[in-house]
Amino acid sequence: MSFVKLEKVGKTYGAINVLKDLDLRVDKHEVVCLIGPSGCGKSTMLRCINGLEGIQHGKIFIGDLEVSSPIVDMNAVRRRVGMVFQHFNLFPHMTAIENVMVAQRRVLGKEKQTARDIAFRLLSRVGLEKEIDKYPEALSGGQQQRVAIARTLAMSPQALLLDEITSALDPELVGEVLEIVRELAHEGMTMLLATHEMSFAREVATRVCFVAEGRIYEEGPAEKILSDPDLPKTQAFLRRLVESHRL
Amino acid sequence: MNQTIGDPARSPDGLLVADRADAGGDKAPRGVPSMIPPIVATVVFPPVGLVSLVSAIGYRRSVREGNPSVTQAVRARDWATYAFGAALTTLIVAGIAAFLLLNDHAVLRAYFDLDSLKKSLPDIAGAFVDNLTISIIAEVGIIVWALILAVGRSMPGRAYAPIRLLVVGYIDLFRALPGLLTILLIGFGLPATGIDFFASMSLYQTGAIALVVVYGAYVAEIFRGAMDAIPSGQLAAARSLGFGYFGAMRHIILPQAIRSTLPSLLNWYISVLKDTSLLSVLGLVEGLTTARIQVTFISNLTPLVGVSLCFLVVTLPLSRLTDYIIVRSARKRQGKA
Repeated sequence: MSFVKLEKVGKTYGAINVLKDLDLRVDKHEVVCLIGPSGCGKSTMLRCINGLEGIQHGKIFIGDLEVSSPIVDMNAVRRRVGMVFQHFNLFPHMTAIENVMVAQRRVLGKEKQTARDIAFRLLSRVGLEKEIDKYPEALSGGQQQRVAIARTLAMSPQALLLDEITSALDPELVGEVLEIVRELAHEGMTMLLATHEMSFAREVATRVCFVAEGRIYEEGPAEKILSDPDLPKTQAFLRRLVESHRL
Repeated sequence: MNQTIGDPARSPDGLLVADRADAGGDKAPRGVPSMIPPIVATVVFPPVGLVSLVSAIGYRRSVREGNPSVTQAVRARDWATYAFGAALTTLIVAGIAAFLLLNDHAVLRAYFDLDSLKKSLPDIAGAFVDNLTISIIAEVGIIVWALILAVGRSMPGRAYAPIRLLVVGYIDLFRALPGLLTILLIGFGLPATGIDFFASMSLYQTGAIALVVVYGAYVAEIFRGAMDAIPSGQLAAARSLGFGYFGAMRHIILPQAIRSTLPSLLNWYISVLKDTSLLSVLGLVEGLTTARIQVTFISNLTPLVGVSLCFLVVTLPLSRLTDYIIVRSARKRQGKA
């Protein structure tokens, strides 16, 4: 049964059609990678699923809940689906551990000590048990992104949306973040990620979707899409990547 | 220089003779004190100028010898700057001092009569406590009220449009009116409503309310600016964690906004404190009013200087603190703290 389902989703910014009749299904325990040129709508798609942006047409389901319905409690939906951002968006006025605690306490209403224990466990898991009392500005980009992942995991989400989480990082810091995503994939976390890391997509993705013209242009197993795509735009995109040494 | 002022005093000119007679009781030998500023200027400036000149000449010589030294050039330039600074400072300080000593110290006595100061300061300081109390109570009210206004103004969506409109109207109105006018309207208006709750209010309470109404509008704009300056990713991250709009405001956005406005808030508090003196129009006998009453009694402006001191004791350290906070937070952002 598909956990995330998009049916004929359409979204416009003014006169620009960002998403057009987009269909997508993500099953439980699936890791789906969205690839495609900048501005193709990958990020918008993720933001729509999380209700950070509204849509004009179509329906979006998470589990059995229609999240595109105007009467749904979006806050409850967001608790089920975590999101990690390109620019981390850590709260700068809180330490690492406070960042991981704040939503547990203020949204889920957990006791301070309980929240702290969970936060410490998650930060240890992403290898930051020594940095828990540092402010985000004192952390490297890779460390900040790992805190952001821990912050999202603290809400016990049933699925994760990862929006180009390594593209703002220096190349040498990409690995430490991807390592965590890799572990989550092995544990069976349902994930939908927009990414430019093709080798990583090849490694963890159960399915790769090439997004173009506001819809899923071509999709299939990672090996097939990334090595031998059928459609011309996918081929052109991969060729450009090869030329710029990113594949 | 003072001789020229002193000499004509012996002339038959009535005014000047009267002036001399007036100062006759002054036991200090006349002429010496007003000479002090030029003397100080003469003493302070030449050494600095001399060093400056010497280092400049030294540098010129080394250039002539075809072997210009960078250290020497830098020192010559530095000393030239010092000489200019010393000259300018001396000029300004000497000018002020000369003004105070003009007309046989009459200026000095008009402003700084120690006896008057000693007599009037206790009363003034006592009344100034009212200014402090009202300003602190008002400041708390201003911050709360301004936060409400700022959140109201930035509420999203069409549903809140009327609220946004109301808030914008309020802010525009009270920023457009002179503060004194609002104070008169509220200070006299509230008791005149005849509603028991308002009618029974003291001058302190109506005065503080008036200040909250006026300054709430200004400070709300400060908060709104600070909220706008927070990257949109912060709200997105908070919402994605399940925070509702007001929860995100309360726990994520406003704490950051308030932190960044702390220097502005301190500046506005200084304004609020200063404007508590406007409440005298309502009949409140605060520090400045007390000082003015004393001025009419003793025919000397020193009590006004006394109340100035009261204000300065509070406002000057606050100004320094504000600058310190700005510098510190800038350093912190750059990761040096």
